[in-house]
Amino acid sequence: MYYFDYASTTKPSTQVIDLYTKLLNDVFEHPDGNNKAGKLMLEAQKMITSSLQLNSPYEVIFTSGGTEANNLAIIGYAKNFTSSKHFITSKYEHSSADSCFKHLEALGHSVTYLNVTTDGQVDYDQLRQAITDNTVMISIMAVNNEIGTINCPQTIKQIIKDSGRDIVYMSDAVQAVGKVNYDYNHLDIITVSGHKLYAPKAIGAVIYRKPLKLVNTIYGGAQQEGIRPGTMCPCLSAVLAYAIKNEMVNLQATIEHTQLLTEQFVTYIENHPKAKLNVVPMASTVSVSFKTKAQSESLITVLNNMDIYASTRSACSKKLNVPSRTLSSIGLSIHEIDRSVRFSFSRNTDVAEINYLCSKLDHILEIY
Amino acid sequence: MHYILVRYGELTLKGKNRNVFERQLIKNIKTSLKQLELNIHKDRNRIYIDEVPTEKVELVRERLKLIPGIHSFAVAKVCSNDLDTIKAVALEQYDTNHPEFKVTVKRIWKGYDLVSNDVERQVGAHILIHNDGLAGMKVKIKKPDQEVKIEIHQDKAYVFARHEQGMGGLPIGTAGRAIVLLSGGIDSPVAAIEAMKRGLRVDCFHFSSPPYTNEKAFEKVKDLTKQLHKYDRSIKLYDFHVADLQIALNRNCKDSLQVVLLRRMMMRICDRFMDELGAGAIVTGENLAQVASQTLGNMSIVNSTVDRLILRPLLTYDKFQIIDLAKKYGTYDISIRPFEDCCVLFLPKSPATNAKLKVVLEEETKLMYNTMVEEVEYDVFNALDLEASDSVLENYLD
Repeated sequence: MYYFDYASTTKPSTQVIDLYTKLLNDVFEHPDGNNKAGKLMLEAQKMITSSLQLNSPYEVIFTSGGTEANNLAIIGYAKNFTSSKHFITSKYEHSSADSCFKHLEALGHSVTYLNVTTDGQVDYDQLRQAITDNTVMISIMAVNNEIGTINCPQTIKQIIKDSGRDIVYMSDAVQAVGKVNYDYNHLDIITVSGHKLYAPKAIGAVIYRKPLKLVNTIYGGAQQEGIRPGTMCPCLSAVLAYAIKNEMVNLQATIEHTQLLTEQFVTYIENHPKAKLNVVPMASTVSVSFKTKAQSESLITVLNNMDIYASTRSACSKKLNVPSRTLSSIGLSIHEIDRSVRFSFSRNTDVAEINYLCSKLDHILEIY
Repeated sequence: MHYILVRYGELTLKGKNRNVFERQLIKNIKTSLKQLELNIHKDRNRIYIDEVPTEKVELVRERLKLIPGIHSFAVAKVCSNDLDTIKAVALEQYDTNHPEFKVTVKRIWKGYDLVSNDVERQVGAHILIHNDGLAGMKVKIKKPDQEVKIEIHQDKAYVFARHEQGMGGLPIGTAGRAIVLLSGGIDSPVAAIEAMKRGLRVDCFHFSSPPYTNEKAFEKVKDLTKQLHKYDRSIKLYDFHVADLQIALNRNCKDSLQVVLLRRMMMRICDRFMDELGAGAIVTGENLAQVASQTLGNMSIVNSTVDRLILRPLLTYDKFQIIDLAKKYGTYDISIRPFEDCCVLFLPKSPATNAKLKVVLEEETKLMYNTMVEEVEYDVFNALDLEASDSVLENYLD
């Protein structure tokens, strides 16, 4: 299997699986009790904040994954307000964040969706002008899931500072943690997801600066301070923490490794007459549009038949039959969007795999 | 390479025994910076830390800020003594957050080409030119925001940045030892640090009631002790298990007197250990009229339990003042974790605010507390035990 779809999901690492099975065998108590399971949850929270090198106090709330984390972060923060407020986000957020803002609009709040420049970053000038007296939150993803570009937290924080207003800076960091250098201390609310980090699916977290308040979005008991009712799996919480720690410890090695692979693949694409780089990638995700008659769905099918796995775009939104918001936000035509494929690499990818991919692409592009 | 100069404040007021205080301060600094392998020595009224590698400077600064007895310190950069280098380093050390400045030069080596005044002018001009347009930027000789200090030696120069405030007070160990009653609340850790600031070396006594008290409550006390350990590197935590005593008090004595009676038992337990530990006082976080047990009447009844000196450094403080100190000392966030300690167990519905000694003494005759005090079980944790991991997760990662 030649897997180039790490931005959509990863296989849990052996270490993570080991820890998870050991914990599942041993720790079964209710995590809200004064017991091993409860302690495990506390330790997992600590491990997350220290691995992300946060140097002021942050709370950690575990969720069922990235989508719920973004919901809790955005809706849960908006629920603090009884009157209508103004939110700022971008046009290329992941659908789990984007849909929350659509919902907030339906509730009577106003939302500004920032443009994205052709280099794949949000338009900082527009952000500067969009801030109003009524703005309460800016939500801009750390690394884009489809094109692998990075939004600079220092710049955004500075813009908020310059505005002189008390605005919460939230960021969907699902594609950033363990993949790129990022100073999370600038963020007030951070969301992460386990399965992008070699942990299992169905676990994620919202990490937010004290003393911010989030209001529960689902209803139930007092678990996790009532902010996220429902009995959370302490073992999953612990493996999420462990996976984050592992990825953060190995971050520099991962970056060096994936940078070489990304450069190798980018050079190949740039020199291929039938391929075009959609944007210069800043992380290990490369978005390419092919100058073929066939659309990317067919290309993917052929690639799959050759045991190669990539995706047309964010796996979470491909079932919606609308063109990718990300790709249209950076100015691609519908024709190009329909012929775009996302390749994403990781520390597990090696040069031989990239060579294989390139040779097969040569072959396919010759025919199509 | 950096170089750090440490000044001590109140110590300089000392007379003939000043040496004792200085020696203790150096000893405390050495203990605090032990693993860093630095050269620490005294010269006239200053302590110097030589050749601190850049990557260690931050850590040294953090540690020095927590050592009682240090009035202030300054980090200097060591460079060659040619004028261009001095200018460049001075510009780098200049803190743009405090724009009004002056430059002072001292030539330790009088053979230097230029006189101090000339160096001052040239360096000052250099800083001015390179910060052109900075708001509030000017040279101010009287009371400047910052003083860029330069010391010129034969083979090098020292360029000092702003002086940073230390904790003040007296070096730990110069005023003897004391026992601190550490509850887990906001006040007692602050009282402990205030006591350390007057030179006391402390041992922390905590009273818990396993199996009735929450283990997380004890975790909190351990974390508080870890925080106190940053100030006093030899601190120990004694955890006394007083559940049996509490149950006996509850069964035999008046409900309204439970708190006063328990505190009297705590004093007796302290009394049992004071000579052994060489402690000359008991320090508490009591604050006049804050809660029922802290009225004048109740405090005097607790006082009269044992013939020992009881110190209450926070007695007259305002609660907000204590909270501010707790935040400053880094204990506040730990103290406010919502776990309850042994005092809450069997808490009377309406505690007596002004108990009568006669009644208290009568109540105490109803139980054989002497043997119970003698036999109370306890655990001792030293700094190493506190650092050792009792983490669930770590056990599975090995």
